[in-house]
Amino acid sequence: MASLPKRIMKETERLQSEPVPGISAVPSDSNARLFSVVIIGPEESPYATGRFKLELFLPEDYPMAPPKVRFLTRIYHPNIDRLGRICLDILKDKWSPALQIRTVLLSIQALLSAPNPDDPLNNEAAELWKNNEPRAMQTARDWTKQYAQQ
Amino acid sequence: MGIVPSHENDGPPSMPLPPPRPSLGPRPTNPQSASFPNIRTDSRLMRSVEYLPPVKMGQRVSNVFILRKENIRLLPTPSQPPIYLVEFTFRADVQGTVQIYFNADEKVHQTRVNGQNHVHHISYVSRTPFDSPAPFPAAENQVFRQREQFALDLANATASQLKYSRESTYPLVIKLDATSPSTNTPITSNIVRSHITLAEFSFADSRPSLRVIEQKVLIGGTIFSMQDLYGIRASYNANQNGPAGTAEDSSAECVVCLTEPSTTAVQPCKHLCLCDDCARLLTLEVDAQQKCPVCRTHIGKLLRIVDTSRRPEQAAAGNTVTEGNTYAPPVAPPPSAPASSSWTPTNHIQTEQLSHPRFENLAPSSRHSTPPNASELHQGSTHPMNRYHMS
Repeated sequence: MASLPKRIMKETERLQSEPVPGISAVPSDSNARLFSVVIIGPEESPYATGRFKLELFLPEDYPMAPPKVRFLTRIYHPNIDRLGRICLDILKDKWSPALQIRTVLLSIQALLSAPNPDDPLNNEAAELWKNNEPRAMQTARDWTKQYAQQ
Repeated sequence: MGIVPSHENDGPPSMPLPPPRPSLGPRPTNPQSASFPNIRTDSRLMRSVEYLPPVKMGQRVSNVFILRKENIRLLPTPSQPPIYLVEFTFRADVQGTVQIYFNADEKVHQTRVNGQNHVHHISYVSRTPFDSPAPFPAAENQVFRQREQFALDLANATASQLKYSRESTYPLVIKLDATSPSTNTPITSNIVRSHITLAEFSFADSRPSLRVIEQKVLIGGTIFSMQDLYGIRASYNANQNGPAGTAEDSSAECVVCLTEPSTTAVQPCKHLCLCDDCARLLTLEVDAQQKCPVCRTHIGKLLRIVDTSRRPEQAAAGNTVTEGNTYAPPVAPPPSAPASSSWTPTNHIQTEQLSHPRFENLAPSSRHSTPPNASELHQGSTHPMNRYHMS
């Protein structure tokens, strides 16, 4: 495998030396481009107290191409589907090479605080969010208790 | 034709820079071969975004006049209908005079010194009455307000008097001239002689407002167009302290590789955020987005800041601030035009650029010998105006 670009080394270092509150990202031992991520559910959201595991992979052309990020922990959210795929513009067409692992994870954390049912990936959750938000929030809380506690 | 259409708002249309740009070469068989971040230019890939003539860093000239665009306003009088007076707050480190013109033509007075053109002053001729030069002291936070009898009758002005176009006069000129040190100093010395702000008027909600077209300074015998850049101070400091990697201030790093110092500014958004390699990577790749990584604005042009102070052998080749620069007037609204403005300068520039009377004898024709670095930087450009930053 090609040597690791300096940018990735720097980002990795800085994630350890200046960690983001509520977020941890640790590179895998076998692949420095693959990160095990944990995001703590934001307070004031139905995901509060949850520990959500994600995987983040930096493709060969990173940072020209966005990282690939996926939830491993099940989560009830209109913009995250059953497979953990995330509907977030900066992970697709709004990617910019000035964004970093840190900023991507912060954006995902913010997405947990502000679900956007008008741009759904999980249609069922989005419908419930629009028609009966209290029930949708309750479901999200239930799932958080059920799946996101370890 | 390899010249890419000029993006709107970003100044002169694409002009050939060395090396000449043939059409985009074939896509490399393996795009990954240009391994990040140490991409090397594949000769088949040609530059699709134009580089402006670079700024040479390492000779900073202190500007004795600070007049910020946002500190220029139109002040309505209590009369009905109100008339508008030009007012601005500025700082002067030397004594001088201020003069305001409406609908003025520009005249550049140059002499040849040692085979090189030196501008000794710029004058403006206006058909509307204008006030005599008003003296001001060396002081900070001075306010200048135009006298009422010389206010422009904006209500009765024609569109061509209010809006700048290449055929028209400059709607508004604010000229600050230094009166000390005296004008007897040799033209080749590096003193600031004049600071000029060119502006036009726009109307929103029936209130006139000003929009600065360009600011320039005459230093010694050379005219510099002024451009604001975001991030230049951090970049300068980092260069003084060694590579960005060792500097504490990470804002001086290229935002893409986080490793090299940022030396390239994106126009028209003015973000100084890229190193040479990453700037190439962002613009050369066939499927490159060509968007500013900071704000996603389309990359119209790139402006490199060459730090001559770190290359003693080249800096020693001469006073590179003035050397090799003849004056060319602005060929278009400069890149400093706000991205939101409605300039679409491309058409008439392409057709009239070379025939317009303002351009006579101003192309950098036979060039005198230049330091190796400078010739690489300027050769072939028909717009050799140095970019000069002040903040």
